[in-house]
Amino acid sequence: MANEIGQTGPTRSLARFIPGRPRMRSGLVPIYVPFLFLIPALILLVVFRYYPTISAIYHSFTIWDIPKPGEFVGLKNYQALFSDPIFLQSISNILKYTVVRTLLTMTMAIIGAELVYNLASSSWRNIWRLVFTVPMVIPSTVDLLIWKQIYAGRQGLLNEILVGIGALNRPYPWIGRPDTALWALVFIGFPAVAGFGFLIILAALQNLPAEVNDAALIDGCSRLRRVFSIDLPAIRGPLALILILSLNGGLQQFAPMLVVTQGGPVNSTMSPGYYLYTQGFTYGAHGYASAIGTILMLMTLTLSIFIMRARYRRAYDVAI
Amino acid sequence: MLKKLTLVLLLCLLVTALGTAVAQDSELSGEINVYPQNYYNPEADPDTAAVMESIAQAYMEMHPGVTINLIANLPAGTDYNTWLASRIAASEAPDIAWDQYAFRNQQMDNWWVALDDYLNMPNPYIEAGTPGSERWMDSLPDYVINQTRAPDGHLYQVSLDWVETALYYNVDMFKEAGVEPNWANWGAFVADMNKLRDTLGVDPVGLYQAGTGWSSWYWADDVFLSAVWHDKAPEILMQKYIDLQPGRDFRRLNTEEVAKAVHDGVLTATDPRMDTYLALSKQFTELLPVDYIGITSLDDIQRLFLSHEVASFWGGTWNNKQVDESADFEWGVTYLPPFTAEDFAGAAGVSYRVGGPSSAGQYGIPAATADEGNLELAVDFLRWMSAPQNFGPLAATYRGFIPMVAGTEGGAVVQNFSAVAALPERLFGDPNGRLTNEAGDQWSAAMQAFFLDQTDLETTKAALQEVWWNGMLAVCEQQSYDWCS
Repeated sequence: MANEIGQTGPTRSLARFIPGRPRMRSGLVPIYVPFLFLIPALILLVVFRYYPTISAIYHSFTIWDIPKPGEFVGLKNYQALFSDPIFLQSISNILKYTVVRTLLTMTMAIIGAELVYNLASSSWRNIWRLVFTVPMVIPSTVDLLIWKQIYAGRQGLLNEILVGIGALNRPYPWIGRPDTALWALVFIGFPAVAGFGFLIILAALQNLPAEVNDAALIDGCSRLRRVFSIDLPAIRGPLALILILSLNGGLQQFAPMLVVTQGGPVNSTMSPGYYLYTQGFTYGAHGYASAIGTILMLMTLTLSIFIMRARYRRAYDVAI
Repeated sequence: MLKKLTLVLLLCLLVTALGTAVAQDSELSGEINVYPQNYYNPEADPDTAAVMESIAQAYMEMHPGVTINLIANLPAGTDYNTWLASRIAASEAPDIAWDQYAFRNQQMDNWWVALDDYLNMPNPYIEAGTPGSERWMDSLPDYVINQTRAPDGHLYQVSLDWVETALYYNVDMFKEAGVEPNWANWGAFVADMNKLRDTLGVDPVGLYQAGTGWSSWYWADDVFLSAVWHDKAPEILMQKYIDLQPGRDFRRLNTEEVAKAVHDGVLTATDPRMDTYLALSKQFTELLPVDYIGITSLDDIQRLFLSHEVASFWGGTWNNKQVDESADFEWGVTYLPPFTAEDFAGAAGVSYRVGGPSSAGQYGIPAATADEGNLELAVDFLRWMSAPQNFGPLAATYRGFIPMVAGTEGGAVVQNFSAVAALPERLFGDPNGRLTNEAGDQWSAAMQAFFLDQTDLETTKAALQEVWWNGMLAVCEQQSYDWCS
């Protein structure tokens, strides 16, 4: 019987049921060993992810003046939240911010990746991949501070250029006016040339079986038709991943509002993430801040589930 | 006789033994962390840091069982609030911690130890016969003590220094435009500032207004509000606080006084005085850089001044050193003009200085320090640090704030601000300290909407009244004053 252990087929499953012997996997490793290796990660996950999440959900039903324990108030925080004009405005702001930024990120990442994928020279492909990757190593806070200076009134790069070419008579306060501040944040870091989405899509395209492309070309399929009929349907998995990451990242956005605009002017760039931070750390309303966090979590969770389900609808993945 | 001698001897022995026991009990030991804010920044200001280190070192030599750990300066504002709140939550806050008194007094005993009793005890490190040696509190002026009193009446911090603010101006620019930096009234000031813009093409005044949190616009708001409400001060000031500070019949209102005035309808944003306040405020914004809403730090404003982009900027005593070291032009210090009847009916003919204990020497002790048994040590080190022979050299080396401890000298920093310091103080403190932090941010947002023409005069007044009213309700919910009902 011992010889059968590790073999494939029906005999392998028989080996698992030998009394007094640990259940084994194909590599002669007891089945519990992989779980042992997962324990440290699991502990970290529970301590730093699940516990804070559960704690925040619990505290969202309390008035919580740290360091005292929270005082249970039921749904009071949620009732206040949905009649709080600043919170409602922050939701509206972040939806606009996320949708536009995600569209820009995804569209341009697909175009960029397709263009590079279709390059015949592999060395040029590598150069372009490098060009898209380098900006990703700049720390985001540095990026934000640079962009804050780009949008500045006097001495701001954007104004210097626009005044210099005669497009403006005098500097315009891009982040000092409610009608432009949010859009100024949307364009920080040129989301249209975001490297992360580009790299994932390019990797997915390069993993597509070459035979499919060759067959399509032989059958007279144009490159553009191939993109929409073969490439994009085949990489729905990676596209869904980018979409989820982009939407989640956008909805939880906080740093640009903190560093560049502080939620202003007149709350026009207030995001739920920054409002949560302000309520918690400036006003000391940690229960209320937890309620904002819980709503944000539910929003991102719902979106992620929706996207994951949509990704499998009528899908047949070839890549990744 | 022998019996008496024996009795006296026994008594002496007993007293000595008790004294030794008390001395042993009171022998301090342990380890505390101290956050002196700007007074300990080894990288940016090694000279001041060296003085702070020597103060701590001398204390440790006096008390061999004690270790003092100094924490280097951290970014102020929301970053520091977050840092401190996280550490308070984890009982890991510094045992002596700096914080702005407006923030500290909104947390009160939830975070901090009331220091009233200690301030009423002698400070053993102050020379006998000088103020503070019998009662620590006497080494600090009454107005400093009372300005930092919390809404519950307690003192949660010791304030060792003071900050004044003024307009730093570019002398060369003013000369070139033919502008003299003293004005008979507000109207003359505005005319001259416009002259600067028209002649030189620069923004006349550097100041910014943030969407949330503190900004230098707060000072202008304080001054304009004080100018239009000054006549109501006798009605707003509460007797129990007047008794604490006799002779100061015009002073900064504390949270309870503002809240009660709002509650009683003495202070209403729908009052016609607010028309003048809003008009002055809006007129002032026309003198500011185009992106005054959008700039988010006073450092950015100072940079505009040093790079000749603005002719003047409203800064504090802490800017003194840096402007002195970095300006490649002649600079001076002036201030806002008096508000006279020519400006609006009922003006008092004076300006109001924006000074206060919002400086580096504001220290409190977290409640967790007491729970961990380090309260006596923390208080004792604070006494040592606040003694004039220690705090005097510290403040003199830093050159950013005016030391308030009796027996210390203001030094160079005071010279530029002596004229400002002679002005009457403002009636209203910063928006985030009037009632609550949240009310302060809402006030800023309502004013931004008005400045950007999103709301008209009446809508703005209604919005400001709502901010005051809700702020008053929040204060009442927290404090339950007897008048709140």
